[in-house]
Amino acid sequence: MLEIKNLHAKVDEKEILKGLNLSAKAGEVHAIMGPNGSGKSTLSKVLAGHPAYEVTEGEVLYEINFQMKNLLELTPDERAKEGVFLAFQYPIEVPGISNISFLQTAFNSILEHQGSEPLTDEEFRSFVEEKLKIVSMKKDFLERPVNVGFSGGEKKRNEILQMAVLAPRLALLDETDSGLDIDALRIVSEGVNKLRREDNAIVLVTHYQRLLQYIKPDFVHVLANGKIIETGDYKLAETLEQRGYDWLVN
Amino acid sequence: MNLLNQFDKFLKHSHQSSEVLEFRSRAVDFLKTHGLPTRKDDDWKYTSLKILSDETFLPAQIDNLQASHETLQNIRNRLNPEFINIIFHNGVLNKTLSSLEELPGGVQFVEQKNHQRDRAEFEDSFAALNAAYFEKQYILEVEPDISIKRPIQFLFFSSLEQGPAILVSPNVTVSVGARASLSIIETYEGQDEARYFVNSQFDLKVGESGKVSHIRVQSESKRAINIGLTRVFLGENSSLHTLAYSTGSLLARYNLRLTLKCLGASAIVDGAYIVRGAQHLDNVTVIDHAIGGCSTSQHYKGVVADRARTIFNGKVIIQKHAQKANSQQLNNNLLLSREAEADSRPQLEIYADDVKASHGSTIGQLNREELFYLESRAISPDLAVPMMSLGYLSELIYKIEDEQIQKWLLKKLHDAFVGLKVDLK
Repeated sequence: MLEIKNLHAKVDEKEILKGLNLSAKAGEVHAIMGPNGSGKSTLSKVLAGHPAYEVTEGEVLYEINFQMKNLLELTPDERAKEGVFLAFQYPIEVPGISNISFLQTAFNSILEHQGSEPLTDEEFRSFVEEKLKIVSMKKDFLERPVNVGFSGGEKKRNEILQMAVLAPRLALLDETDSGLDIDALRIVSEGVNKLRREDNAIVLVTHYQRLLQYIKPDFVHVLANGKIIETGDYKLAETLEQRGYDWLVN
Repeated sequence: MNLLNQFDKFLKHSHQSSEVLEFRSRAVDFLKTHGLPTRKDDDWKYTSLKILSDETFLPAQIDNLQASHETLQNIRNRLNPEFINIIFHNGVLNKTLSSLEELPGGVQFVEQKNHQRDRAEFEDSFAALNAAYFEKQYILEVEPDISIKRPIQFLFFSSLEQGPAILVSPNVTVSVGARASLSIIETYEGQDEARYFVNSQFDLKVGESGKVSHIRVQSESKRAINIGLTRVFLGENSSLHTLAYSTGSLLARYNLRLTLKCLGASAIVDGAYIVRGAQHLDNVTVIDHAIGGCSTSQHYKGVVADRARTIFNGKVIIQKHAQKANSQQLNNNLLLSREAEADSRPQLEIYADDVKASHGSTIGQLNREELFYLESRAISPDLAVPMMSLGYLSELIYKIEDEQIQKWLLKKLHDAFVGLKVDLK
C-alpha cells in the first residue's frame, strides 16, 4: 500500500529526512519510534503534503485503484480523498466552524470524489452519532467549533473521531499519545484498535513505548537522524523502553 | 454641483408643504456652501467621490417609474415572513408590499411633519443632499413599555426600470419609548447590476431603559453607490446592539454616529463585511461619550478579496466630563489576495482622566496551518477558504440574540462566499 524509497526532505532549508525507506501493507500497524528531532513528525507531514516541507530526493508510492502511484504529486486534499489521514500532534483550532459541518464537508468531499451522492444533514448526523461512541464523545461536541476550547485529550479524541468518520486506508498518527492522561490514552487507543481493519494500514509515530502497550504494532522502526536505522517486532519497543535510543544511535 | 442640477425640475414633481420646501431650500443652500467632501478632507482620505461629479444621477421621483413585474417579484422573494416588513422601492414607500397592518398596538408608522430648525440641521453634505431630495420623512414610533418580538425590517430596494441612473434618498427615524424593546433591521438591496445611488439617513432614538437591536444590511448591486448615515441617540440606562453587515456595492460608505449623553447607556457596535471584485467599502464610526459611566464595545471584522478595498475609520471621543467611561474597539481584517487592501484607522480622543479605553486592529492573511488542516481532511482550498472566512465573520452574527435574524444573516453570509476566488500566492 505504501512504499517510501530514499526519501529526503527539508524544511526552512534544513534537511530533516536523509534517505528514509519504509513499506507498509494493508492490515499492518507500524510504529515509528525515535528520539526528539529525528524526523518523525516531518515524515507524517511530508506524507500528508504540508506545504512547508519540500521533498528533495526519493519517492513515495501509494496504492490507488490497485496501482502504485506517486503520492507526492497529489495536493493535500487529493491525498485525503484517496484515503490518507494524518492525526495531528497538535490539532488546529478552527473558530467559527462547527465540528459537525467540518466533518460533513470532509466526508461529502470524499463521497463526491468517489462519485457518490453526498449525505443529507440528517443522514450524516445519525452516521456521525454512531461514530461518537468509538471515542466516548458526547453529542454536544458536534456543535462546538472545531477544537476551540477543547482540552488536550478532547482534541486527540476528536482526531480519532475524524479518522472514524473518514475511514482512511492509510492513517498516520503523529504523537497521538502525547499529552494524554492514562484514561484518555485508553479511550484513544481503544478507538484506534476499533478502526484497525484488514484493508487499512496504520503508522504510529511515537516517542514512548507507552502507546504500544495499548496498540500492538506488527513492526517497530527506529528513526534517527532522518533514516530508519533498525526494524523489528514489538520486542524492539520493549528494548528501547529499557535501554533508550543511545545504544542504537551511537 | 451635478447633484443639484435637477433640483428645480425635482421641485415641480414634488407637491409638499411650504415648510418642507423651505427645509429643502435650506438644504440646497448648505450644499452650495459646503460642497461635497474631497480626499483632502481627512475623513475622506481613502474614498474618492469622483463618480458623483462625473455621472448624472436623477432623483428617482422625477420619472416616477412604477416598479416592473420583475422588480416586484424580486422584492417579494427577498421578504422574510418572520419579519414585519416596511418596503421602499426607489425611496418611495410601497404600502402593498409592506405589512404595515402587522405592526402591533403601540407602534405607529407615520409621515414626519415638523422640520425643526433648532440644532445643527444637517450633519454633513450628504445629510443635506438627503434633505433636498427625500420623498418623505417617516417616523416609526414605539410607545413606552412595548416589547416587540417580531423584528421590523425596513427594506430599501432600488432598481433601474429604465433611463439614466437614479438617486434614492430614504429618510427614516425610529423612536423607541422608555423601557420598550425591539429588533430593527435596516436593509439596502438592489437589482443586480443596476446603477443607482442611495443616500440614506436613518435616525434611531432609544428612550430610557429601552433595549434595541439594530441590524443594518447593505448588500447591493455591484454597480451601485451607497452613502448612508445612521445616527443613534441613547437614553438613560438604555442598551443597543448594532451590527453593520455589508457585502457592499461598487462604492459604499457607512457613517455611524453614536452619541452617549445619558447616564448608564451601553452599546455593542459591530460590523461584519465581505467585499470582492473592485468593491470599495468605507466604514466610518464616531462614538461620542459625552457623559461618563457609559460603556461601548466595538468590533468590526472583514474579509477582503480580489482587488477590493476596505477602510475602517473608527473614532471614539471621551469628553472631558465623561469620567468612568468604558470603551473597547477592535478591527480585524482578513485579506484573501495580494491585491486586496484594508486600511484601519482607530482613533481615540480622550479628554477625561478616569476612563477605561482600548483599541486595536489587525490586517492579516488566512492561517496557513488552519488551511492545511482542512485540506488534510479532504476539503479543497476552494471550499476551505470560504468556510474559514465564513467562520471568521460568523462570530459576530452569533452575537445577535434573535434567532430568526441570526439564521437569516448566516444564510446571506453563506451566499456571499459563493464563487469566491482565492489567490494565495
